[in-house]
Amino acid sequence: MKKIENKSLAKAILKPGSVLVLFLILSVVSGVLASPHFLDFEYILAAMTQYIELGIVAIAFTFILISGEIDISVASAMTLSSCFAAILYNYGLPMGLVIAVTLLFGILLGLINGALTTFTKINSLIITLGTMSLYRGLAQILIGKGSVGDFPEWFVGIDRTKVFGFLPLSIFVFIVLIVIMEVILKQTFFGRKVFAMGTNDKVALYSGVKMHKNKLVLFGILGLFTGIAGIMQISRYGLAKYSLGLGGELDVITMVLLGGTAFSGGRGSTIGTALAFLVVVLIKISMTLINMERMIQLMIIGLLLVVTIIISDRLHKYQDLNS
Amino acid sequence: MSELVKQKKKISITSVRELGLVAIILILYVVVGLIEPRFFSFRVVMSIMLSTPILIIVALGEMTAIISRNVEVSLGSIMAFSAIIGGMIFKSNIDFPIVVVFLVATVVGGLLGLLNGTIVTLFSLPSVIVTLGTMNVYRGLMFVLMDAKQIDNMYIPRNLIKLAQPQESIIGIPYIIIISIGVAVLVSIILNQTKIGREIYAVGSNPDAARLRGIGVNKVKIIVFIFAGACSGFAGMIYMARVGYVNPVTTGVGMEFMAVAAAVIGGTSMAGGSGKTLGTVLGCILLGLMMTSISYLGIEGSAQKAMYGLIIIIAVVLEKIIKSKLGKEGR
Repeated sequence: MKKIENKSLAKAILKPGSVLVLFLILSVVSGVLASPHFLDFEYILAAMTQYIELGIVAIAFTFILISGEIDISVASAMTLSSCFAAILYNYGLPMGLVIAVTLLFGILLGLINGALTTFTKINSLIITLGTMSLYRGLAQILIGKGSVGDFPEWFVGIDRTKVFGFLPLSIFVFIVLIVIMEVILKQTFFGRKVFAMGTNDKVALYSGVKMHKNKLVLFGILGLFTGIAGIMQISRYGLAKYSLGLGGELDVITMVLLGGTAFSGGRGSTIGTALAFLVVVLIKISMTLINMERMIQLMIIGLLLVVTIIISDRLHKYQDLNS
Repeated sequence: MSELVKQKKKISITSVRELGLVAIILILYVVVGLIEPRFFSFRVVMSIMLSTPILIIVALGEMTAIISRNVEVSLGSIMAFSAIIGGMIFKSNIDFPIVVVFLVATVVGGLLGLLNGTIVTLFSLPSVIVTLGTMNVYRGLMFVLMDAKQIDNMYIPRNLIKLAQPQESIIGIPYIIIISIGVAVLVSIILNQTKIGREIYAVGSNPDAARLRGIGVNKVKIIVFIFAGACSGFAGMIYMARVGYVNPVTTGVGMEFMAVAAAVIGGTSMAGGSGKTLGTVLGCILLGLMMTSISYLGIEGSAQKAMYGLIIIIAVVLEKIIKSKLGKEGR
């Protein structure tokens, strides 16, 4: 009797989502230990705006990973969109039009990844390993070593514009996108197809899911999100540089995996990704508060990624054994 | 009979690729030389040759990993880490025997590779994600180890630097080029003539079949990771000889992507199970030629990164198209 109780207790605790809760608690504790200013609500919000673009990319990235694909070119695509927008504006296009064209450009970048992956049936990891280098290099060709800025006043500072008097506009956008994408993922036919593609692609194919079309759509959505993130990025900095968001794919992958999405596809949620975004931001805040060097911060995030993927993989397997 | 024909066909296809690469290299060299006559000189040929040994050694390690169906993106970090350890030994005693330091750097690289391989096999995780993590972990570690400082030129023994200088060699060819050719021959022998070499190909082309044939798949994978790491550690010493300093932030950044590009250009299939030493070496020479051409033609260095990406994509897509065409003919 007691054994069974123990087992159900273990079952309740050893869920993939528990890692997230554990890390959330750990990050808050370490943050409080790092500095008394840590629990300042306004400070946390302000810090969140500094990483919000990666969070936005991570939402759409969750869909891609659930469907069994991956895209490690996201940070490069985001910054290429930023540089593209900056160049367009400096050619004299009105900012409103620049934003619209850049979003389309972002979709195009995503579709390039999607088309190369689906039509050639080459692993998306390899294709995006190439486009990661290609997109970043194109950004470097567009902008060179310097930076391009001088945007209109209304456009700059999305992180300082407040909604409802306290919430930075960029975080508001983030929350709206999470809600929309979670509803699409969990409540629509399209969302069920995304899960089906990642769980078993053959079964999905035979039950009438048009794999090519749906994967293209997913890569297009991810491209749109990198476009949005690219626009928000230059609004926050007020300028575009080719080196913005360098290494951002590491943060994005860490957030999505930490949020409980399985690397092998078929499982995951955008709410989980959003919570994991919070964890990563809290850890980054504590590291910045104790003046940790950027290289060491990267190391900690790298370590977090490895630990997360090990633990969540174990827990997924444990859950499968017991269900 | 039909199998014999098929086999003959296979051989001719693979050698066609290598001959094609040689042709591309020669054509590119002549074209660039016609635009910029300074290119036709022994000095330029030497500088092209000198730009490849580091890449060749890392790329051969990467190729072995790709053959076994893994991608190692922490090799640039491993190379820098090993070079830093070697540099620290020289910093404490510049007269330390160079051969021993070579050995230490190779072992350090092998150990870091072992760590990657252990994580990948123990938890059966995708190697790219694991090494993406350890790439940053290793780089952060050496940053801490060096306290953000670099190993300056003054700490590196002259005898090591001499390995990269043509005028210091008795046969006129810098020793690091000879060393890299030696490594290539060694890798070729290991992959083609030994049991473990055949097992690496078997694991890469079909892991399940390899397991059924009694091959310890995880053991083979770990050996591959150790080997790739050891190659990169060894390359770290060549880097020190050629470049003359080691920096924890910049050394070896992006090396892994060049290595993947070189291997893929050389005909290594990203699906695993195939890849040839000669092809990878030719891929490295092509990349080295491209880099030298870029600087001689006055094209901005910023185009380089985009080019590597484009090369990887074009190479894998072409590979796929050629393979599917051949597959249809076969049926």
